[in-house]
Amino acid sequence: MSEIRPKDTVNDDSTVLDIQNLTVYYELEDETVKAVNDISIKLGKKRILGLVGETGAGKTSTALAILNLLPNPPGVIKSGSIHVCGNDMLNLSQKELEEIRGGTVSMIFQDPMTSLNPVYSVGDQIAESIELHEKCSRAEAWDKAEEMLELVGIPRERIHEYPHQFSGGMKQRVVIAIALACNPKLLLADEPTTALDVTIQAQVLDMMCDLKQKFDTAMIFITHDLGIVAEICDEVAVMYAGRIIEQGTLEEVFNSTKHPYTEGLFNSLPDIENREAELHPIQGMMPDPTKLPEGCAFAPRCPYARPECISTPQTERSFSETHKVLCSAYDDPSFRIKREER
Amino acid sequence: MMADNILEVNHLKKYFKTNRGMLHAVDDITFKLERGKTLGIVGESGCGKSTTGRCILRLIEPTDGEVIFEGEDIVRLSRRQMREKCSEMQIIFQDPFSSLNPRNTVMETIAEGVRVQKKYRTPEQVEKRVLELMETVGLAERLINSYPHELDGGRRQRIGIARALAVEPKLIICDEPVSALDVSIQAQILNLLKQLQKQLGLTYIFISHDLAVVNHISDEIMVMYLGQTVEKAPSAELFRNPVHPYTKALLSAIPIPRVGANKGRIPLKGEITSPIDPGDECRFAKRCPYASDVCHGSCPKLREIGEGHFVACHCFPQ
Amino acid sequence: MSKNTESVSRKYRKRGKLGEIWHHFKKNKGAMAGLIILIVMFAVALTIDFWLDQEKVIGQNIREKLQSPNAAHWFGTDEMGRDMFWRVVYGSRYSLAIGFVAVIVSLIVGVPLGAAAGYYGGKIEGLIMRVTDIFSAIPSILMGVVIVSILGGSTINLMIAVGISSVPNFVRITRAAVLTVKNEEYVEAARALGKTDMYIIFRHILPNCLSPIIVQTTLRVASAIVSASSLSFLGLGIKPPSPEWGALLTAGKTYIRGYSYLCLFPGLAIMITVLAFNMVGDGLRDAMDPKLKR
Repeated sequence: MSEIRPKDTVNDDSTVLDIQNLTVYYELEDETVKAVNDISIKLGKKRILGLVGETGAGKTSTALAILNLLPNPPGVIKSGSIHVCGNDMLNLSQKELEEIRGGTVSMIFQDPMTSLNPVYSVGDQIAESIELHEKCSRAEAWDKAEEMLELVGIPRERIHEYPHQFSGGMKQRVVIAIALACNPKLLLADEPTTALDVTIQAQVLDMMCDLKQKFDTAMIFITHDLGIVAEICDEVAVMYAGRIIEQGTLEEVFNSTKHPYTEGLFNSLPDIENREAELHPIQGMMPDPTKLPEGCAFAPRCPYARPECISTPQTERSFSETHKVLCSAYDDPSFRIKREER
Repeated sequence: MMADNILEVNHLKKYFKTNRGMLHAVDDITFKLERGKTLGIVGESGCGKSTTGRCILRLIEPTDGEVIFEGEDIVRLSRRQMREKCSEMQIIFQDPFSSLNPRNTVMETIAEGVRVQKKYRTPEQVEKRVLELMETVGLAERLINSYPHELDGGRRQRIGIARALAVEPKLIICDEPVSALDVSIQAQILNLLKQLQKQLGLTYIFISHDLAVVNHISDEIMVMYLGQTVEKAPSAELFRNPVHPYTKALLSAIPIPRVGANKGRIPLKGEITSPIDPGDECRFAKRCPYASDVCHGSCPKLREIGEGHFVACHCFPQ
Repeated sequence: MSKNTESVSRKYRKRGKLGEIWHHFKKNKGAMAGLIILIVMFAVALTIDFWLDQEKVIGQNIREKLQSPNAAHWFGTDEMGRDMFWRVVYGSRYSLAIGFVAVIVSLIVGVPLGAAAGYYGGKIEGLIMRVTDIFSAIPSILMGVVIVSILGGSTINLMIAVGISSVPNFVRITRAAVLTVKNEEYVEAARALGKTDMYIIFRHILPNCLSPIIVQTTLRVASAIVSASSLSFLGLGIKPPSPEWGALLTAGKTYIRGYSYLCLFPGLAIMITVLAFNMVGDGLRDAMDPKLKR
C-alpha cells in the first residue's frame, strides 16, 4: 500500500504519464501479433494527447497496457515501463492496481450502450465507484454522485433512473461521470464519441474540455477523427502498425506535417470547404501485424518510399523539442513532403 | 426542357407500430432525383434516413405514398413484379461484416447478383462476368475463392459494391457505405463510387451521417430530422447558405481537421421530441434556439426559397 | 475463350466445396475416429442378417445362464443363457436405425417449421410455436404411445413416433437461430436482389444456423435410442426377444445388483454410438464453417 503515491503529491511533479519503450505482443498459438512496438509517451498535467490511427494500429492496446489490463494470455508486455503519477504500473500488486484503476486513472470505452450495467440505476453505478475509491459512506457517495451527474449536464432528479431510460449521448455522459467521479489524474478515452451523433458529440466534447479545466485531468483521447483532435487536443501522436510515427504538439503535427502517413491521412479526408477537391487516398492497406517488415511498415504504401525503407529500421528525427518523426526519408536533408510545399 | 427524373418520391410515409403508439419513422418525404445525379440524405441516428432508403426499394413496405421509378409507381407492384424491378435498383450496406454471407466465397456472392440478369446462363459466362466485376471494383483475381472473413473491411465493401453492380442497376442506394471504414480506405471507396458513377451513368442516393462525406459526393443534399425533410438544397448552396436552424447547428458541429478552425458552434439544448405520435408542431422546436409560439402551433411545410432550395421552417425569413 | 476464363477460378481453388469440407474434416482426429466407429457399426448392422445365425441371438440355453464375461461369451450371458455379445451386436441393427431415422424424421419436420416461424414471424410464428408448445407439454412417452397406437406397432412407426416427439426441440432451436441470422444485412441484400423466400431461407439463413442444429441432432440420437426402448418396454414397437439396446438395458436392470455387466455392455454401446455421432457432428460443423479454417 505504502508504495502508492497519494494523488495529491503529484502536484510538484508535472508528468502524469510516462511510458518508455513500451512493446506489447499478443502471443497466439502459432503466430505473434506485434500490437505495440517500442513507443514512448510523456504527458503533463492538464494536457490532452490525441492518439490517432486506423483500426489495428495499437491504440487500444496502448491504453489497456497503461491500466495493466491487457487480456493475458495472449497479451504480453514484452518490455518497457509505464509510470502513472510516479506509480510503476507494471510492478504493482493486483490490489494496488485496483486502487489505482478508477481512482488515479480511469477509462471511458467506445460504446456507452454496453459499458453501463442495465440492472443498476445510474446513481448506484456512479456511487459505487466513489465509495470504493474515496472510502466514504454510502450517503456521502450518493451526494457526490448527484453532484457529478449535474456536472455532466443531467438533472439531479434522474439519479434513480436506469440506463435504458437515457439516450446514447446521456449514457456516455453517465460513463464520463463515473470516470471522473474520483477526480482521476489521467483519463483514457477510447473513441468516446464515435457512437454518438455529431450534435451530441459536440456537446460531449465541450463538456469534456470544461471538465478537464475543472479537475486538472490529463487525458489520452483515442480517435480516428482528425477533426476532433484539432478541436480538443494539445498534443498528437499518430500510430501506424504499433509505432508512433509522428508525435508533437497539435500545431506541429497539423501545420508542419512531416510523416508521409500523416500526410496521407489528411489527403484522405473530404474537405468540407472545397467539395470539388479530389481525394487522394493512401493506396493499399495496413500490413499484417504478424508479419511486420524489418524497416518501415508504411513503406509499401508510401509514395516517397525508397527500396531501403522496407529493409532498414526507420530513424527517429526531432524537428523541435516536442516534434518527433519516425521516417528515414529525412536522412536526405532536402526531403520535403508535398503537403509542406503548399 | 423537362428534367429527366429517374425517381420521384411523393409523400412517402412509414409508421411502425410500437407498444406506446405509432412511431413515425418517415413522415411525408417528397423529392425528385435526376438521372445520373447523387442525392445525399443526412441526419442523425433515428431520423429515418435508412428507412427512407429501404422503403424506396420496398425492403420495408411503406405505409403510404408513391415511389415513382422511371414513370412507374413501384409501391403498387406485386411482389413478383417488384422482384423484376430489383435489377434496376440496388443497395450497398454500411457494415461490410454483416452484409456478406460468411459461408459464401467472393465468387458465390457476386455470382448471386450476376444470375439476376438472365443473359448470363452458363457457369462460364457467370464466372467471366464475376471476374469483370471484380476488376471494375478493384479486387484482385486471386481473391475469387476467398471468404469474407479473410478480407479486410475495404475489400469486403468492394465485394458488396460488385454484388450491387452485378445486376446492372440504374439507381444505387448507398446506406452509410463508408462509415465503418478507416479514413484511408474510406477515401478509396468514395473515389471508386465516383468513378463508377461517371463510367456507368449511375444515380445514387447516398445516406450518411457524415456531412463532409455527403458534401463531397452529392449534387444535392436533403437534411432529415425525425422523419421529415427540414432542408434540401444543392450541396454548395446548402453549405454556403444554410437556412434551417438544425442545418446550421449540424454544420457547425462538424469537427474540421485544421488548427483553430472550429469556432462559433451553435449549441443545441433541450430534449429530442419523441417520434412516437408527434403532435402538430415543428419537431425541432424543443431544441431550436429561435423557436416561438407559431413553431409549437403547427408543423411547418416545405417551401422553395431559392432555386432548388427548400426549407421547412416557420421562422424563415426572419 | 470460355475455356480460358474457367481456368481462372480453378487456378486459385485447390479443391471443390465438398473436397474442402472433407479436407478439414480429415484433420480432426476425434471426428475421424467417430466416423470410423460409425462406419463399422453401420456396416455390421446392415449386413448382420447375412452372416449371423439368428439362433445365436435368440436361442435360449438355460444351462449357461448368467455367466460373467469369459472367453466363450465375451460379454457374458443373460438370464436365458443367450450370449450378450451377439445380442449387443445384433441390437445395433435396431438401435442405429431407430436413432438415425427418428432424428431424420424430426429434422425434416422440425427444421422447416422452425425456419418458417423464425423467418416470417407474425401469425405463422404464433401458430407454429403454440402448436409446438402443446406438443412439448405432452410427455414424449405418452405421445409415442398415441402415435404408435394410431399407426400400428411396426418398427418404422416406432421410429416415426420417436422422431415426432422430439420435433418441438428442433422447431425451437431452429427458430432461435433463424431469428438472429435473419436480420443480417446479407439477407436484406439477397432480398434486394429479388431472390425468393425459399432461396433465402435455404441458401443464406439455414447454412448459418447449422451449429446449434448439428449439436441438437447428435444429442437427440441418444435420447431417441432410449425413448424407443421405453416404448419397447411398454410393448409397443420392437417385440422381445429381438435384442435392441434400450430393451437390453431395461431387461438387465432387474439383475443389476448381481450381474451388472448385463447393463454395462448395452449401456456402453449406446454411449459409444452417441459419442461417435457427437464427434462427427462437431467435426462436420467445424469443417463447414469457413471462419475456423486456417
